[in-house]
Amino acid sequence: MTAPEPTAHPANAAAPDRPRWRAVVLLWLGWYLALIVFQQVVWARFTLDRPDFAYPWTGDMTAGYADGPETGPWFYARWDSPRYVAIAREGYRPASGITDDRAAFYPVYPLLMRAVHSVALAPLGLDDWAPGGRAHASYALAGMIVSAGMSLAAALAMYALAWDRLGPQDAWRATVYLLIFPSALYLAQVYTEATYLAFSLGMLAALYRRRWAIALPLIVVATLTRAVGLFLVLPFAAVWLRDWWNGVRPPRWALLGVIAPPLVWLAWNRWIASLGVDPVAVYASFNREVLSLRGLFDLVGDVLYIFREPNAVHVALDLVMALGGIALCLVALKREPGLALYGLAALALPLSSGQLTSISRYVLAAVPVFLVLARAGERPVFDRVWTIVSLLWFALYGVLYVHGFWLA
Amino acid sequence: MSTASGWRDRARLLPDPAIRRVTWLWAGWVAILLLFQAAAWMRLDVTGPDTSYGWTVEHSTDTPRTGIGLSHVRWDSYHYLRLAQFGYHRAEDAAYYPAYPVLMRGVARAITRPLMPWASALQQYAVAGMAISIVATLPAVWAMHALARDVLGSDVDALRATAYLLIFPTTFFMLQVYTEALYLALAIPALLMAVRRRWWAAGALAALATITRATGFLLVGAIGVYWYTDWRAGRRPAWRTLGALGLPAGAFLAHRLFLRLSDLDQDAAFAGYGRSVLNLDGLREISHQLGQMVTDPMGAVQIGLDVALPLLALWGCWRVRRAAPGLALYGAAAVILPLVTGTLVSLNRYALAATPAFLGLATAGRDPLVDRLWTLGSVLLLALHVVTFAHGYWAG
Repeated sequence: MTAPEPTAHPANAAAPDRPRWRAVVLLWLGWYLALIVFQQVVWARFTLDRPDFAYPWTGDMTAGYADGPETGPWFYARWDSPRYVAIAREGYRPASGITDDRAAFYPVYPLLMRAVHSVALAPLGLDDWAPGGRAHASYALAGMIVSAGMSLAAALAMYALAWDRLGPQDAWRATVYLLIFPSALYLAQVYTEATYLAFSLGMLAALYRRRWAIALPLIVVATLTRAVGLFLVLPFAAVWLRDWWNGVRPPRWALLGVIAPPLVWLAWNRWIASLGVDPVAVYASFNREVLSLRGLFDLVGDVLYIFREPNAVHVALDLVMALGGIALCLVALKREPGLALYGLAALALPLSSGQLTSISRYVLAAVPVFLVLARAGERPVFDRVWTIVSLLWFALYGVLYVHGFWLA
Repeated sequence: MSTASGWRDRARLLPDPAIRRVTWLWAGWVAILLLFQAAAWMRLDVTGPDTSYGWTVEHSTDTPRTGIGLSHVRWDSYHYLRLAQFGYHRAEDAAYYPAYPVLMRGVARAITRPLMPWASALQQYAVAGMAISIVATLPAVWAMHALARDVLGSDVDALRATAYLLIFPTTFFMLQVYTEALYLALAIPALLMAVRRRWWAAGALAALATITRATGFLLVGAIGVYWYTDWRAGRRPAWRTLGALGLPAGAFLAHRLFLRLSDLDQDAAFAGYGRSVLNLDGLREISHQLGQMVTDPMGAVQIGLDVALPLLALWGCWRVRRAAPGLALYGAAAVILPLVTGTLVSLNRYALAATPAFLGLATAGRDPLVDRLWTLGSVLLLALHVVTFAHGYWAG
């Protein structure tokens, strides 16, 4: 049984009455090409002096130069990316005991990489492809292909979700804002962001259309793509309960969508433990311990670091991103409680470990951010100003990523 | 007197909502760009030298200056600062026009020196130059909006054209110690006055633009086209209004005479920068620069933009050739004149002077997809330019 979702968007005479899927695909294509070319242009135009002192610990990790365009797809693979390549190639064999850091990375993205590699790249004889002397480039290329396809799916899903929640004009704007978000460049790199957003936004779009049978598998897959997928149970439960409260009586089996993610998450951790890896110790090796006193000291230390080192303007930007993300989720709380709680949880989880690190990337998962911004963008001046802010920030992050500096 | 009529009187003093929107857009743009330039300076440390044009190497090895005002002083800025402080003395000074440094001297003496007695003279003048640039951008964007509204006939198109001006890849020069902002603050209103057939105002503004930058003299063409169009259409503007066309010519000649009396040769100064109109050596130089694109990655990017942005500006002007022939002519001439001087250097910056191009771009941007994609590309290139400029690399 389905029920029409109440929407508060005003009727707009100039708005298209049917979704403009083709325009979204072309927008994504333009965005993707612009980003890929921009990365090459930045590499060609200047080099950054090393190391990077963005955070106190980044200096030791950024002494060497990053892979250039001669390494092919490895140029688009930095920091966590080699771990995904390693998992895609070798699986989760613990190479370094109970704190093997691969265990912190969820399996869906590397599984898709392996699938693309096996189906599309290995038959072309690309197994031994080593541009610029970098081996396993075919797996990095597989990661890029997966990210490209999934970022398109994410853009389409965002458009569908925002169309239902806000209306045609805001849907277009929300999609644009997602693609130009400061950390959106991750959607095109060998990173899990695009895959997670494709599944999570797809799940949310299906959920709000009461396509329970589609939403259910997607929420499970999203949970196995990134830990934050677990919190998708919040909007899922909110929608189910609201329907129940309103007497619509959603199917009882749909409640599996609330139960399955925690079970899948537990099963995943049990399996990792069965390999001889301690998941808690793995996260601790990344300095992530939830609600620990040390985490609080780390957080205070990072904030104070802003005033000691010019490069630490990066920490300030992370702080602004965290506070901005929380504020926008709170704005959405009354109108979209399920989504807002999910967004807040997606930000609270990393922050509760006392780390601002990577928060700019994690904000991408907080869907309400884009919906609130899209509504605010109904004012043309806000639309233009936010677009400039977002794109300049996006470009700065692009420069950092290209040169192998710490980003998120 | 009733209270209601008092409110009505006050309401008339307020600018119309469209102007308020443009003002907010301008304020946001100034704040964002200044913050971004500061953040790019702090977060990144670009290692020199810049090999984009061969000659850039020797000029990009030193650490650029920092501090209030000085962070916005790079490359040509030093010429303007020297002119403001010491006047015209060196041979190369003749290549630079006097309006901006004269204004800088006035502001420095009247405002920044008394306000910043602790600062060095260079910094006082730099802050004065930057303040002029920031303030001048406001009338430039107001006039851009009014011009676009007059020509394109809608507020939506006008706001888009104004936004495109503000995000153009080299628009950051409007917030540096450079002449761009002052020039546009004079040239765009001059074009607006020409479109509105306010001949004397157009001529006076064009005269001031002529002593700000060389391309200012080309405004005569735009004014002349509108005057002639009116004449052909039978509206018969008064003959004496042709005198408005003489104002820029008078300003141009007065400046040349001043240089001559100062024992300076403008043509020789331009030649010192490798610029001489329609010279065969220029063709050789351009082909050499195009070759640099193939051999040097930095050159490929920078020179590529020096080629691409003027071409884009020409395309934008072409799009408005029917709606605004005088503007299109001026815009095309503003790009072509520096090109025929035999070098590609700075063409990306000069494309900014071809402001009618933004009207053409704005009409293309009526398609939301084009609007978003152009905005994306333009702001990414703007960011690239800001980073290079902030770190003392050649940017235009």
